[in-house]
Amino acid sequence: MEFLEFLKLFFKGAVVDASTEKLEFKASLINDQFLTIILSDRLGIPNPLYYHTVELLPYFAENISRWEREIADRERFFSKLAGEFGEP
Amino acid sequence: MEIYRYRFFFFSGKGGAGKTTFSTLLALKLSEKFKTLVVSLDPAHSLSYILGKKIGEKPTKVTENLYALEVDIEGEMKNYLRKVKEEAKKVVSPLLLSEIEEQIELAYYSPGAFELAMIDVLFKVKESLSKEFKKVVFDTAPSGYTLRLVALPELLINWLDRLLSMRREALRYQRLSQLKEKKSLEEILSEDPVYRALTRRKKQYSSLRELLTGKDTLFGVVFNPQVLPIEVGKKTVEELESLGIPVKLLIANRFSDPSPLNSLFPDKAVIQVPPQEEEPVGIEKLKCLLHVIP
Repeated sequence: MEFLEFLKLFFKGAVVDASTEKLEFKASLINDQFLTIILSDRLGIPNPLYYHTVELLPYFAENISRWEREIADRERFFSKLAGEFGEP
Repeated sequence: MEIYRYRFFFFSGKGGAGKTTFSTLLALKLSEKFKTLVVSLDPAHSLSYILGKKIGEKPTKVTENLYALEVDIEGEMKNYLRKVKEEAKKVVSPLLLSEIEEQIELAYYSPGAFELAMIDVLFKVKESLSKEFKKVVFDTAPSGYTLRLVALPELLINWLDRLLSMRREALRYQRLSQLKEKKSLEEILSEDPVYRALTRRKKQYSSLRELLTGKDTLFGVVFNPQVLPIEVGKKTVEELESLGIPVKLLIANRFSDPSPLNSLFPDKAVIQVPPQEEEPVGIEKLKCLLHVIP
């Protein structure tokens, strides 16, 4: 029985964890996009609805440090966005 | 001009044109037949002055059927941002809290904040008080900035729909990544604060659009007799109508002869308020002017 338990854990580690990590990563990419929208001012794009969107900010706070590192290299950040959504 | 068929009234016009005076006069007229509320969103709070009575943050009784309300928009802004901060304290890790709090405080000074707060107040008044009051007169009309914002409801609502679907996708991925007992996606969405806030905003923007352009609403522009104010008023009317807000009434305030307005806008209703020797301040003096509204 113990053997079966190990087998289960092995497959979970090999297959499932890798894919959950991917899924979580995808979700956090979308959360980064929310930060880009709310804090667009920091990228030089005014957000006329900042007063209304600021109420969402607390829920994306855990992403903020990573997002700030992302936008530090502005050129790279914008070309990455352009790559994702296509040139305007 | 059949004023009684409308429920909501807005008046636009230059500062000092007589918006507050006319709004109060109209509210007094409406209150002869209906329970009426006149709401001031003006930071200067001239309503208290005109009514000769301290008007509070809750509807204050002025006469039998007339109530007045002065909303302190800056106070509302502080309140709202305080709530956002409290929420941040609950959900944000202490390490990040100060940065997030700073970012929230910035919102108070961000461009458009006052106008957006005004939208919140309009929505709140409509939701909470329009059952109790049959007629609601808003002493200050939303500024051009606000109107331009809500005049593009398709854009605004499309944008919110996009955000809602982004949020849905993020939560779907998060849900899939969990292996244990799963709630349904719909259940997760209905509990998600972000999804709920976005849904609330969507409802708010559509309702505001309806409030400003619906057939229950009378949007008026107050004119003064000099050449320049007439030109400015004309521009205001044109701007409102180009945004899809029909101007149904013109107020010829302090005009001894309203014909310039009649010739400028031949197919619009005009109410003439002749020049007064004394400023119409106080209920008694306003009552003497009631006859100008047909």
